[in-house]
Amino acid sequence: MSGMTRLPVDDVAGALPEVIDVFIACASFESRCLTLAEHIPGYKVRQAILCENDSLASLTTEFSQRLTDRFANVVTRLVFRRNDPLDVADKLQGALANVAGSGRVIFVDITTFTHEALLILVRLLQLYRRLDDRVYFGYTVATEYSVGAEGGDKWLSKGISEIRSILGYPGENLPSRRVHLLILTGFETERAAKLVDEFEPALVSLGFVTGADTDEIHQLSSRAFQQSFLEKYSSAEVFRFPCYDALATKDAILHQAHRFAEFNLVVAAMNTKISTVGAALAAAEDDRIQLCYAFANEYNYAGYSAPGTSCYVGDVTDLLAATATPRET
Amino acid sequence: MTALAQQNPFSVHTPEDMLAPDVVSLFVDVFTDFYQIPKSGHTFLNGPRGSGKSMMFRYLQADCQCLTLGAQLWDLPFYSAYVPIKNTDLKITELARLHARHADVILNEHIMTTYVAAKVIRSFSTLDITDDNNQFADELRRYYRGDFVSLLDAGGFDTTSLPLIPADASLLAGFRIVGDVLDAIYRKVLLYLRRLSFSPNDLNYSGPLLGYLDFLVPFIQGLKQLSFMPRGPVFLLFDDADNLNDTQTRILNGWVSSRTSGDISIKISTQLAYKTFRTTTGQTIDSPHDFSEVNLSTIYTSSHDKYRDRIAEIVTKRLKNHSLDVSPDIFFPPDSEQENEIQSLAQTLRDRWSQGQGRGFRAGDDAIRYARPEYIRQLRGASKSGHTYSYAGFDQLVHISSGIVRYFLEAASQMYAEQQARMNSGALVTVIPPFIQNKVVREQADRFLFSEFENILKDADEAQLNRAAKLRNLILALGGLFYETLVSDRSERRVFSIAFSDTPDQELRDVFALGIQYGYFHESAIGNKEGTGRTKLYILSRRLAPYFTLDPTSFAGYRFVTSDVIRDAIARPKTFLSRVRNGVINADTLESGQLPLLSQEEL
Repeated sequence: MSGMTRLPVDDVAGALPEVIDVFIACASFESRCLTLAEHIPGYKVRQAILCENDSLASLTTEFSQRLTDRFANVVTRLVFRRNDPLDVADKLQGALANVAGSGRVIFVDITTFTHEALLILVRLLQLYRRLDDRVYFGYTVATEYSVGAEGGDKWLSKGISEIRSILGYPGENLPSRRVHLLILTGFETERAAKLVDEFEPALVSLGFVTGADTDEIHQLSSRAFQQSFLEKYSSAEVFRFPCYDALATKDAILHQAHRFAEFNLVVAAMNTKISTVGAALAAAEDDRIQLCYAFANEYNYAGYSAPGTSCYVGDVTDLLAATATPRET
Repeated sequence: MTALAQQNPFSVHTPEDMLAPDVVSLFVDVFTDFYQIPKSGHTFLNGPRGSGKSMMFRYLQADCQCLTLGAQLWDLPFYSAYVPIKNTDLKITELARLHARHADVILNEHIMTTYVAAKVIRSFSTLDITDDNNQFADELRRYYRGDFVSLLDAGGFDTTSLPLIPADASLLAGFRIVGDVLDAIYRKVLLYLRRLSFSPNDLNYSGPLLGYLDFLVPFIQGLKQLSFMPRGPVFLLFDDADNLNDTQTRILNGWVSSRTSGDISIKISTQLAYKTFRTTTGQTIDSPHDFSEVNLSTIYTSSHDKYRDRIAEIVTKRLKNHSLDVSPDIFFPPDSEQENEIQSLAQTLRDRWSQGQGRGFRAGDDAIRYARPEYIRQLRGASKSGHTYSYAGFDQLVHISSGIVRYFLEAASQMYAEQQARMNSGALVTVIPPFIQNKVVREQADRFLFSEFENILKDADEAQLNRAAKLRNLILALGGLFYETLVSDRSERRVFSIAFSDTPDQELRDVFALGIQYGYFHESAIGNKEGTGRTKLYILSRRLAPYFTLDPTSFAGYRFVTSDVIRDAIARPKTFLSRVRNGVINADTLESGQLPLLSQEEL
């Protein structure tokens, strides 16, 4: 189960070590950013690194303040400049380096990071964690996305203002090869379609959610997406991935990569953050894979999601360690 | 017949993925209009997505040219190598680590040079070159061992372990080895970039450095000497160069300024968002001194007949490939009831002219100018009863596609799919009923103005957001104004364009530039009001005609306006339109003696 186990959020504290040396979370416009933080006793946390995006400051103030208050004396706040992945990387790297000692317990609530910031953080943890550090990830499940909207009207984000490769995952796109674009699809039909239009890839692989452990909302969204998308891109290759299992998602991506090894592979993770971690693991294992990020024009700030009562938590140290480190020149 | 014929005849395919026979069978030769493109010399080819740029580039490639001309490779007038600039091929985020710090230009130029050289070599992989005695393969092997190795040596690449091209290797296998070497050089710089991800100070680079003048130019000149190559220039077809980062754009401009067009002509397609025309040294490149420029939408806006003929030829070819020998006018018929009523109004106008009550020089002028507007005017207020203007008919559809081939094809494809869904499985679609044509173009107009505009409006940058909001107001104000003009008693009612009678400031120019970039406006030129020179004409996209209930069939009419009027329309579009309707603003001059002060802008 990829190191992360599903459990009621009320049980999260018991699933973690007695002391958390570093708790990392991202203040968001989603109340889900509070769920795990509010279920960990404050005394357990030695240091908290709270991230937020400067462009969303007006939308995140309340939740940011609540998180700050919760860990009042041990908080380091990192405010990321919009549209600047170097700033994200440098600030996270600096903050992690400033936490003294080895054998640290690092607990990351991955729920509300942007896909891009999360992927950068995962790469940093793979490359720069210290000897005997233990890394735990937590993820709060949503009971509903695009709260209040029905069926095809559901949306999380709209438009693409920029597409860029993700720092730490430049891939190995050789000029002699054609592009294979692989998308882990979610609700975001329009953005995924735009991504395909922008890349005009020679081959498209569309990953749709599967698995007994998958919530019905993900299954429904996937079916709706699949129908509408395949009408337009009838030649796309279809594969399945379990959106709450990073390891199996990694395997699903690598399977597609090996099937079409003669292409440059670009992966866009547009489903749950756990599956995004799966994309990071795949790119670490096969560093020819490039990860890309489609920067959205607009997010559904008012009703992005509703927090559920269960979460995924677990020790992912071995998962991160099992993947390759970058090759040197 | 290839697989294409079995699909929706109007499906839009990525030209890069199309086989040469399909490209040749579908392509409509446009190079009489764009004569600069297949000629020696650097050229910028500007046009929105879907205007046919990539298809032109695909057609220029050697496999298509050999098929079209029935010629061998060496008989072609030029050789083209396709260099697609995809989003994240060259624009790798790690490169930002170098910005303004460390050999930014040199490393970016090395990346671009290697990338282009590899694309040139890759372009041979799709060619079927007859090489009976392995003569060409031998030539390539000698070139590889000689000039190519020397160039790599000079660029700092360790050539001691280069693979050999075996004596019995085919030409294709030889090219594969050259390509592998270039891939290996490219891979080396990618590994360097990977190291930069989280090590901003670890900047030392010890790999080779290849540049345009010291590697790419002599590399291509050497290839040109091989006897299977055409004697003419090599065209480097940079597709979607807007995707280059700022440094790479400046480097490419430097290549354009370097006057190598006799051997190498750089053809650059952009989607009107090219970042800069400055080089890395800060100098600008200019047309026509350094390059020629083709603006697709401008050409088609100023010559509608050429565009109509081109679309008719495209439709005819596609239907023929689908075993349908039918003219576009028959396949896309107009609403006959509506056309009969318009004809009847036209006859009335001709009769009136004969009785001395006309306005034009000829009876036919009045019929053409006023019959359709009059019909639309009569529908005013009737729409609630469900009677609305129909935009069916091939001519109207061509006008509404607004000079962009893909807009026509996408609409036609959707119409075809809808009609097919209504028919028995397996039945052949031989006609698109008018109501389906009308429904699809109306939906597309709504989507263009709302869904697509939302994406622009939500752009993050504060300045852009403000500009986008102003653009939306400008479109609403001008669309409304043109409708009021259409249903007025003015002598010229079919107006779709404006020109400034004064000099608009930078802010207004920026709003129009954004509109042009996203396809809401086209740009052309007309004589200025004083008759002393030329001034810009801004033409509203005909894709919006169904939204504003405008007559899309003529664009001769335009209005001269002042900057103040447009500024007012942008700030308060609803108030502006209501004042036009109420006569507070003179509909002819668009001027008002007393503008009420409003405190709140309608942004």
